[in-house]
Amino acid sequence: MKKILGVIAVSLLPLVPLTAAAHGAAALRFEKSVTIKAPAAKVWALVKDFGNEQAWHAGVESTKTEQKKDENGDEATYRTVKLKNGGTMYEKLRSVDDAGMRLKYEYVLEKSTLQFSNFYPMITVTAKGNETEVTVKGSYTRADSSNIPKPEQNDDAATKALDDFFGQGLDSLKKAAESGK
Amino acid sequence: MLVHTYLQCRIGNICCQPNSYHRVLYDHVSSICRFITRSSTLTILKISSFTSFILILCSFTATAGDLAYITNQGSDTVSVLDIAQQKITHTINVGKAPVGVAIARKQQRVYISNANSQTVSVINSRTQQVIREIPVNIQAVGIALSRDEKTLYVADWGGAQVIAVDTAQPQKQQAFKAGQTPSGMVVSADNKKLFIANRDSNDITVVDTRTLQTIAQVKVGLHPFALTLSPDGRTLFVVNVVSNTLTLLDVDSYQASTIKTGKHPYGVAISPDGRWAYVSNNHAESVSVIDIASGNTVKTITVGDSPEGIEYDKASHQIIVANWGSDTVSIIDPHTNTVTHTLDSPKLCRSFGQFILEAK
Repeated sequence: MKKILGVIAVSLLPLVPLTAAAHGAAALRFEKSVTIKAPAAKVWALVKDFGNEQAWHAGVESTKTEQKKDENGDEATYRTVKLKNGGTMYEKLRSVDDAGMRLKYEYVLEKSTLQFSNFYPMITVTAKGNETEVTVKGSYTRADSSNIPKPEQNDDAATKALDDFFGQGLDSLKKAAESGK
Repeated sequence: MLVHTYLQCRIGNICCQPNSYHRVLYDHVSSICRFITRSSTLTILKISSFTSFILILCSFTATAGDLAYITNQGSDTVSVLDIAQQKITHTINVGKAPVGVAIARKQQRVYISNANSQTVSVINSRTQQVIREIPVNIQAVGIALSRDEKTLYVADWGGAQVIAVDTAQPQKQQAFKAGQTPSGMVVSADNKKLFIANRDSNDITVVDTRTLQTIAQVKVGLHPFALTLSPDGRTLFVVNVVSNTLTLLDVDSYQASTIKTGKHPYGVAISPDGRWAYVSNNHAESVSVIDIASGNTVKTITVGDSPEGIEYDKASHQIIVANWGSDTVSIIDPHTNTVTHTLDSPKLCRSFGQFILEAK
């Protein structure tokens, strides 16, 4: 049994690129918004909490943060997000701007399972009268940057993965913020 | 000749939109101009009212302002920006996902790299029409021309090679070695060396343009992407996206020094006096104005989202920045270091490379 598992593990290896992926030749732009009937401060409190994504994202099982040096030797906060569907997202916090209610982070494909790369989202929370608008915006590329990408790692696969993740996430953020809690 | 220069200065301010009337006029006048040029200097010095008239016409037709070619990756088009007028005059359909620009001023051609159709579109810069699309069969991103405009270099983003294309016979192509994920490229002022920024091997490949062999491989910061030369041609400026730095590399000795930039520098332009570097910070929605001598950032100018392509227009003294994330082009006045105009451009504008066509 061990042997079989070993063979499976080895055969899975090529699916995970080991080198740092380049930004895509033609990076794509992701943008998705939701309008929430709740105060902006309440929504922002949920979004900015980098180590607690399960508080608002229905697809997230748990979030664990760690401090470590980044590729430039600077101290940085990273999080490992375990998804309910078994997936993992590894992300680096880039900035939390309380005044502008903007959170910036980076998705690290090498330690994650969703098939997109070079994803640098900015989540912005904006008060619009009695309502709040939340926008996720960022560039991303497919996971396979080669000239003929594998179908499961092409532009469409990357777009679908992001769309699914934030489609569910923004819906559940709306529910969480609009509920009495 | 003095009179000619004077008239050109005065009339240079009047911008003419190219239209069919001007084109006909242009053809007539250019033949007369060519005749005058061939005639002896003495003839020109005898300024009769007729030759004055011709000189006026020559100046009038020859001095449309500088043009910036803006690639719109998300709409498969190129916008032509008349810089003096701060106006988009043409929108040209090109290949899929256009990214890079190379200007062949003598040929009156503009070469556009199309990453997704894996082609290069060739635009006639007089008519602003695409005259051909050259298949290169690579994810074409970085693109540059030799100084004599005979060779076009196209970098393979999906690999570790660059293709040299004969501009006279574009089917004649020769691949040669680069580092991993070659990006920005520029040819030295003496036309002897091609510098290639290799994003994933974190170095610059220096190639002998005669033999296409690697002369040197120089380590820089993490993820070098765009590069440009100082006006005197002695220093290569390279932005290192992940290191958040600008490398200054001596083009002969390869001695390097480093300057801090904003977050994720994607493009760099140098002022004509060689004093200032303008760096587009892709993840900080800004342009850093850097005093090259001291390495200090003297101003951080807010522009659009994800600014990328940046170039200094010598004729009008304005800086053009393409904001990929907000579909706009910012125009900066370097005297005040402020944004004076923000123009809409179709989706995902980039303008990677040297994208300004100088009128003179």
